[in-house]
Parts: sequence; structure tokens; C-alpha cells
Amino acid sequence: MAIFYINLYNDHDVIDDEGREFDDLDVARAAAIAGARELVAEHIRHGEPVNLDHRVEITDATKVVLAVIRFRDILTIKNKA
Amino acid sequence: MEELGPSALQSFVDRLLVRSELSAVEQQAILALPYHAAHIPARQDFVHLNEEIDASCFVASGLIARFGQTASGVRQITAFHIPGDMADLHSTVRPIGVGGLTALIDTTLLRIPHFAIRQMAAVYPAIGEALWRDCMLDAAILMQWIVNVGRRNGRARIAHLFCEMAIRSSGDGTALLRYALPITQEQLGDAVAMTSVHVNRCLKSLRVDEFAIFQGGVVEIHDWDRLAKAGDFEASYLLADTAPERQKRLLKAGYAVFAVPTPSRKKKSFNI
Repeated sequence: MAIFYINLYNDHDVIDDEGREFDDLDVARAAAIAGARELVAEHIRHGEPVNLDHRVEITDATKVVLAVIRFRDILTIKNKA
Repeated sequence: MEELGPSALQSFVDRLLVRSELSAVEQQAILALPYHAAHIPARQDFVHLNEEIDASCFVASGLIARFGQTASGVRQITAFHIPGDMADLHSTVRPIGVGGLTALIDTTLLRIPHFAIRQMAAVYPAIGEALWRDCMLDAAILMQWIVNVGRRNGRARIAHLFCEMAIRSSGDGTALLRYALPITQEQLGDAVAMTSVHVNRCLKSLRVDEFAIFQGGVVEIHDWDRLAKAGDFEASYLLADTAPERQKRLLKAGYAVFAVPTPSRKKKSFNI
């Protein structure tokens, strides 16, 4: 278990100053992806634009960035079947 | 059996008196209820889903949550209970953990045996009615929480919860503009059905707009009217029955005897 911080760089930049305990980075990454998807969904629901370059970053307690997840990496949009 | 003294249940009496008129004898009967105190450390479950229980839990200090859980283990917090609340009063008549209970921070509970509560309500019908009203308040709050997670956007959910807890924390129908809510963003997310990333985003938005700040387990409300508007919050579900004219003893009017016809009905049976 370790504490990871998930920062959001969206229309508001939101620095996570509380952190949360996860088993490992993979579990933290899954939580970060779920959070990013929820935010994208909220934007879509309210007819707000989604900037695919916006991102969440996972850091450790020393603020070292361990993973970057851009919104474009967690969405699949198809034009044709 | 650890005891904390005869006035340990005074805050429960105070809570009931907000909505119900009770005589000095009736108040004394509540204060005389037997109990044993239990200290529960933070993040420990103390009532499990579907567990059979024989006592109701009064929160003497700390903060607890009721929760439900999916088969895959994901939790949804369905209630916060603060000091002065009898968290599972309803279990007196349905002694099974319909929701689990967990301590969010270090908490002291007074476990009051169901038989003692039932006995008291049988001897003092006005207390029975006061307890019934107390259960109704919890049900009204739950209904609002369902509307919250079902129909409000993320920011509104948190704004609504902050307004609700401001009134509940005061205990007198007013709203505290600064109060302790010692939970993590993750726990807040579990209560409003949101990821902690989304919670964080909405907290930032409420802070930037100068409606409210949530930091270090304290909620500070800067603009009540705008926070309430953002949260689609209307306090009547918390304040029902608290006006002086509503505190009259309904029992006085309740002893008429009715002959109730009992028509035969087709029924569907369930194996429960």
C-alpha cells in the first residue's frame, strides 16, 4: 500500500493535496481513469466541450509524476460501425 | 458493561424534543435506558450487512456511516450519523442490518438493547411516537440522498450535502456556517456516488466561486444562499415538525377507535 495523488488538469486545475491509499500504481491508475471518464461524461451530459489534451496525473508524496493519462487515451469514438 | 453516566443519552432526548413533546417522566425514562459503551476505531465496520442485531447504536461521539455494497464490493454510503443520532433505531423493530454501519473516525457508541427500547415505548406511547418521528426524519433524509445521487449534477450533490450537514450539525434548526465533517474526499465520494477526482473538481469549483471550502475535515460556508441554490437545497425535510404548533402531542387525537374492514385480497407470496 502507498499513498498516491491524482491531480487534474482540466478547465480547472485541481491539485490533490489529500492523496489516497492504493495497493499499487496500477490500482491508482484504474481510479484515475475512472475519475477522468466520469468528468468527461459530466462534460458531455452538460453539453460542454471536451478537450482531449486535458489530463490527470498520478504523483507520489514527493510530487514525482508516475503516470499521465490524457482524456484522448481513455475514450474510443467511432464514426462508422 | 461500561457506563458513561446518567446524562449520556441527554443529547438523544434533546434531539427528540426538537420534534416531540415529552414529559419530565418520559425524558427520565429515556435517560434511564440501559446501554453499554463501545469504542470503535476509524474505518472499522461494526454492523455487517444482514447481521442479526439486538441493540440500536447511539452515536455519543465521532462520526459513522451506513452503507450498502454491490456484489463486487463497491460501497455506497447511504447516511452519515453524527453525535446525538440513534443510527439504527429502526432495527428495534427489524433487527437485521439492512445497511452496514462503519466508523468514519474514532467513535464512541452506546448500544441500547432492543428489548429496553420496546419496553419503554410500550409503557410510554408518547416516546414510541417520538421514536417513530425520528425514524421518519432519517427516511426523509434518505429520500433526499436518492434524489441527490439520481438527479443532481456533481457540484449540486456536494452543495446539497454541505447544506444538510450544516443544519444537522447545529441541532437546533439553524445552519452552522463552519462545522466539522471529518471525512476524506474518498468517503465524500462514496456518499455522493462520485469518484474522488470528480469530488475534488467540484470542491474546487465551489471554492473558486466562494460558496464553500472543505479543507482538513471542516466545511466553511461563505455564501449560504448561493450554496443552497447551487445544491437545489430546500430545508423543509429537516425542519418538518419543529415549529412550536407542530410539537403538540398527536397522541391526544389518536385514541379514537375505528372499525377497519378487512377485505380479502389476492396475494403473491415470497419466500423470505
